Amino acid sequence: MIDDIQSGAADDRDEFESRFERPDGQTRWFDWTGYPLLEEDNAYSHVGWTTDVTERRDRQKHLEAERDQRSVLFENNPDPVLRVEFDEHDPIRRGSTGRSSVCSGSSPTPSSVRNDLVGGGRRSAWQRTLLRNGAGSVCAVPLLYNSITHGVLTVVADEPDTFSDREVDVPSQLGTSIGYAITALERRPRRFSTRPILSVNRFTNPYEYFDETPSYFSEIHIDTDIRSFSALLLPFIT
Amino acid sequence: MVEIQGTERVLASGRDVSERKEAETRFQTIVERINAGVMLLPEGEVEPEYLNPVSEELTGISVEELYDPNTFVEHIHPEDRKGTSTT
Repeated sequence: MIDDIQSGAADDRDEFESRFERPDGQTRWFDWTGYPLLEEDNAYSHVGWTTDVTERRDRQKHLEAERDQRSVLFENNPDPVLRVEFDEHDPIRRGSTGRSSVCSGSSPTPSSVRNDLVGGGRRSAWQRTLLRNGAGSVCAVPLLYNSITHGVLTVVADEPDTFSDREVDVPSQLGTSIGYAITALERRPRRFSTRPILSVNRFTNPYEYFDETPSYFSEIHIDTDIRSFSALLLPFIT
Repeated sequence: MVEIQGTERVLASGRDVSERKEAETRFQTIVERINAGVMLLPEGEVEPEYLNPVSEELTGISVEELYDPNTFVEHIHPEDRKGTSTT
């Protein structure tokens, strides 16, 4: 550290982390920061600044292990698995953009869309399943209302790069509507809950689905048993 | 001492250093109470000019021993020692 600090230019700031073995046998992680200090006589001294970051390091390690474990779980699942993340500051748990933030299971980056199912690279089990069924892109939105998530609406298109922001808006709104419908139905007496779960028209052109087409959904019947679908609904657009 | 017309005289001048002293005291107070180890190293030197008491708490090594830069480096984990030599 001393060499690093002194070898730097006068305006350099040097920072790194290393383990420190204390005489009592403990090994702690320290963050070392060094920067020059101009003295009255125009000579430079160097200030070294040390903080104990062991707890932060431990949390980081724990999070990485958890992420690896989750990744293995998702990669080996033959079904499409989508992880839903919510902005808890919003009363209806939607993101600051007004749209729910949805993340595909194997990707750490929150995104509601996977447009590259056909593209190269190693594919996870759920991607292979979708590809086998002729999917080129997938979009997922949570079915939620009043902070209750009933599942995920997954919309699949046979072409890659199908879902732009505009296209995602429609299923997002639909997800909220379905979430509301499920909530409303769950509050109704049980005698109304024996209807079909979901029926969606199939289209020849995937884009038709997004073109102001609530009428394409001739019937959407939702039953309180919707969770028997393992929280996944797959209206296929072919 | 200066000699003026064959007589030795004392020439003295004074200036108010109260502000500087106050600043030094304030700096000392902050550095000793802050929750971080602080080390002051003069240009071209490997031996610290100053180490605050927190350095001792963090490292478990007395400040006196820490003034020896080798003591300091010896306790860095061997895998992390690159760039920490004092020579």
